[in-house]
Amino acid sequence: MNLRDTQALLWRAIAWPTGVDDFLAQADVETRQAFAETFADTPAFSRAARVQVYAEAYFWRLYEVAVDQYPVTAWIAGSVPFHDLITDFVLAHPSRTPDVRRFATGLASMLRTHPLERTHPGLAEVAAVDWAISDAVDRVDEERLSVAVLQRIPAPAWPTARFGLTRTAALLPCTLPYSTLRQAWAAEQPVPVLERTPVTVLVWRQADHDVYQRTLNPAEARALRTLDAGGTFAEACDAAAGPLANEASPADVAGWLQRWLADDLLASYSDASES
Amino acid sequence: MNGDRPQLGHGVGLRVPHYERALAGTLDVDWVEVITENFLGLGGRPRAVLLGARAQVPVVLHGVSLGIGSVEPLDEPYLTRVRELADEVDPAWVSDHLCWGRIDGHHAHDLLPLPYTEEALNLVVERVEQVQDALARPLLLENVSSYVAYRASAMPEWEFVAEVSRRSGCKLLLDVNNVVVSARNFEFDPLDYLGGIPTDAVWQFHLANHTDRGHYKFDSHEGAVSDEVWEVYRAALRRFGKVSTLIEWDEDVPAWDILRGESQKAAAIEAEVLG
Repeated sequence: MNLRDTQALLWRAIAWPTGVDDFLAQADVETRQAFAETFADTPAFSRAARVQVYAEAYFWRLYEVAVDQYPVTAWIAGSVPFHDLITDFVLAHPSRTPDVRRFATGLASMLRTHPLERTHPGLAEVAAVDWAISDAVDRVDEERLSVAVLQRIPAPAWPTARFGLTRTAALLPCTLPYSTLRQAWAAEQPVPVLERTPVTVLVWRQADHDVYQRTLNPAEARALRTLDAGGTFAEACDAAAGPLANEASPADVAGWLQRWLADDLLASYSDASES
Repeated sequence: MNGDRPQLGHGVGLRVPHYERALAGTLDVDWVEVITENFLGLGGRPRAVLLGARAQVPVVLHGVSLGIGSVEPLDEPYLTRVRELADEVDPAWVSDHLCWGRIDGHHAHDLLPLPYTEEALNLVVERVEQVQDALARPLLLENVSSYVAYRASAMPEWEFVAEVSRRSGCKLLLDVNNVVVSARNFEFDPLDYLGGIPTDAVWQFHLANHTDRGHYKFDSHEGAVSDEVWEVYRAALRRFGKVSTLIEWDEDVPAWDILRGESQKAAAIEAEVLG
């Protein structure tokens, strides 16, 4: 057997989700024969048991990494269902990245149509927030906007001011109370009864490298989404006010702006009237 | 005996629990090794940790995803990113494993053993040159611990490792723990292994612990270096002389003082053996 076929055979045996013995039981005669002819045996340690060491390590390693990357999702799902989920994911999407921490980038997307989403409605959204937090950790560094920059904006230019969010920021819809759940997970509490209420979760990395998340009130979420989409400060104020123009005042938005600055959420400023 | 072998002293594998030391400037060891793939991101804390470590001590980039023995083409984007990282960090050297781990574009995220054949030897030797060209710096290859052997192997592992080094010119990272693990799993004498490796080819030692699972040893990197590994380390020092030595401890990473204590123990044994 040449090297390519040898590697392919070992890979098939390792990646079989129910173990090497089952792989061999399900395999055709030629595959079983090739397995016996390829791998060496010793009386105390059969070739199937030897390959099984790699098979167990393969699924266990990916499960452990996924628990690290999706901690709240794993906590809500429970260890066995989450392990089964990761096995399903790996079978459908074998890793294509050299960085193992990124192998499950698409987990939230897969979860939307997975049986676990039916037993835990909203879990896919939780997974998307978990991933955004993991993903923000090592995104490219960038300058953040300072108070001094804002102080130099002349009053007439404020309505047309555009503020860009840091590239580490993500605004994510979630129908479960992610921030509360994350606190409970960190405190090693049992999973509470889950009640669904639509919110927006903001994830971002501050300049000190710590990654944060918080739940936004609807008006602040609309303002930030408007800025993130390239809207002006005036448009953000309108969006915050809502259709009845009574949910937030420009003063509220100005207050949020101070917090966004303090949180290193803003990375750029431009004037729409100059573009 | 030492030739032009660089001497970094005695270091430790820098893992997440001790990243703060890199940021705080308190890495009181001779040098550190980091897992390359954990630093492929472009920013954030990982990048700050890496640059902080490099500002204090020599750093070695130790990869796990190169797949030098994989049959399919090398992962060019991965090599490009490692090159960028190396250009930025200026590591003492770059290392990875003498194994395979990628097939049909899928990463196994494991260090899978090669058959010790002429076909595998030719493949690895050809690719070492490609990798060294892509990285514009020397590559060290590490012997892996293994559980599977191939009936097609035409030479013992140490002969294969020595031939890779001799034909490609690449230097070796001799993992003493891996020798001990594989010696048990394939019933050979660790001293035969050491005796088969050219003395001037070894630029680095790895020391770590393993787990005894009854009928085989598993390369767990959990716990203090075992007496058996220290004993083979002494023999390695007698054969190879003074070699840059690094402690690996990846599971249940201990307090810094304990980890540093292991590297100090390695230094003391080196002094005792070599005077």
